[in-house]
Amino acid sequence: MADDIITVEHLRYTYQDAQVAALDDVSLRVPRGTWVSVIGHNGSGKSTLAKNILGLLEPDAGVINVDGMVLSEETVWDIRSRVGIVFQNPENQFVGATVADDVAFGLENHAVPREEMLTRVDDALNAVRMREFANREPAHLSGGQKQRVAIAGVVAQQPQIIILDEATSMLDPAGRKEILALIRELKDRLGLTVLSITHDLDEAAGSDQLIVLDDGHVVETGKPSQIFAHGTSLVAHGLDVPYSQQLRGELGKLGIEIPGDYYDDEGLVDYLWTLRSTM
Amino acid sequence: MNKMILGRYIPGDSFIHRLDPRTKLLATFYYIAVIFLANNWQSYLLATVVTLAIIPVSKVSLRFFLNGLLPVLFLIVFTVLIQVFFTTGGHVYWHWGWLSVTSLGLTNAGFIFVRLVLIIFMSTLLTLTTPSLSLADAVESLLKPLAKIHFPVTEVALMLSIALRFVPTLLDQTTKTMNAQRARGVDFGSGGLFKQVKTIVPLFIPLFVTAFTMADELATAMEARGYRDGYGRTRFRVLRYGRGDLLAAVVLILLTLGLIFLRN
Repeated sequence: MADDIITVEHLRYTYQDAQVAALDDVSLRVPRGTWVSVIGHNGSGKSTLAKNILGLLEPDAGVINVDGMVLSEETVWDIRSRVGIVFQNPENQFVGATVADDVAFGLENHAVPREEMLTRVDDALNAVRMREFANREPAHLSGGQKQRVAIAGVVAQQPQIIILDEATSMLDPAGRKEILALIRELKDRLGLTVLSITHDLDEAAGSDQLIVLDDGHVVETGKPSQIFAHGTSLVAHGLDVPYSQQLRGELGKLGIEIPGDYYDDEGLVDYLWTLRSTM
Repeated sequence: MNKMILGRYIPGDSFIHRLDPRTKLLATFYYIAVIFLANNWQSYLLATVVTLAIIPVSKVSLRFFLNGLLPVLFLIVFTVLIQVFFTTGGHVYWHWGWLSVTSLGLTNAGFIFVRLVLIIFMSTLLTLTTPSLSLADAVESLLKPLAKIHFPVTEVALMLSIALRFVPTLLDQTTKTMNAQRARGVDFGSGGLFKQVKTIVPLFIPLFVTAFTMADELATAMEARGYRDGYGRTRFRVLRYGRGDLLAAVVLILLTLGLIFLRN
């Protein structure tokens, strides 16, 4: 399909020395310009999936298609130039000795001429509001700032797709919100597609589509509201239904239907306290 | 653990700070070689005057230079004492067994003392005014001709810059691991030497494990961002010689000529 920027068909991957496949017959599609979240408990194969899409791991079987190119040894570098990834650990993906150097690292690899590099690094740092930190060393940055630099590195590459591999899981709640808001802003402004690997259900709830992974299988695909609605299956796959969503279900049983797709805790509280308020 | 071994760099914007790191690196090596031309008090005086004139240009306090002497103080004292007691010649002031203090011994000791102090001042000047990253750049740039004989210059330079970048990270990790072990009753820095060494060993194992995890994740991140090898990459940071570098070269040439003229 022309609209699917990523399609994965019957992907299987087994780690060396592992008895069972980390991914088994995984098929999924990511429509262009959407935000798709892949959720699953630890060890469900989420990160393995991301690494397969980038060709960092070589699948045993299956076909991966990114932006019209079938992933192979010839296309892997083209694909990597179109897909930016932000990993979990802010420290261990910071290659450059300073912020500007790190943002430029991907551009250096793709042999971007220096003049162009200077403007792209500058623009990217502006986009993540880290420009005044350009000459700082990573040791003097917080985790959230380092993740913003990683995002700037991705933005500078001008990719089509951003993959977030649990990019916010090592941040505090405030940092997490900030990063997600930033990604959302960039996605809209630059027309990106986001594939987010996460176990933060609040984050996943805001996406266009959810893919639930368990033991290397895709067990469910659908809109977040649909998947959260039958919460029991999520629990069976080792995931918790967000509290707000549980409460909503319970209220529904009592005949109080709450409209809209999804609320996080704060949103639901706001809805509830204004429900009967006449102010 | 906060005392940085490599990062003695004092930020500034002096003439010396702005020099190309290659110039500073080469000039330091050249200075160390050329100072051996001095062999009488006139030539040593010239070298001392020039060096003491250069130091204030960096606008770094003299205190940092004197601190630079501390780690090698023992070496200096030792060398000077050897010279004093074992060099024979000229007038004998004092004599005991095979030890003697002679006029030649004292002069030589004085010369060696001045030479060592000047060399250390100059290399301290290099490290105080040049960030380690710029030094790594300079090394890469100077090694570039070796690429012709297939020496992986860019890879080595990248390794160097990544190593420098991870020094604070690993120090941080060490502090964390130490604190975690302290919380469980390990007592660092007390007891005899043997006991202290024994408490260090369990520190290394978790550190190695973290370092390997880091290396692995970093390699993945680098590959994901399109890193293949050193070839076909462009450079974000470039070095350019300026007019100041020419001036530095002129100063060194004049010093050399002066030394040649004054020496015996």
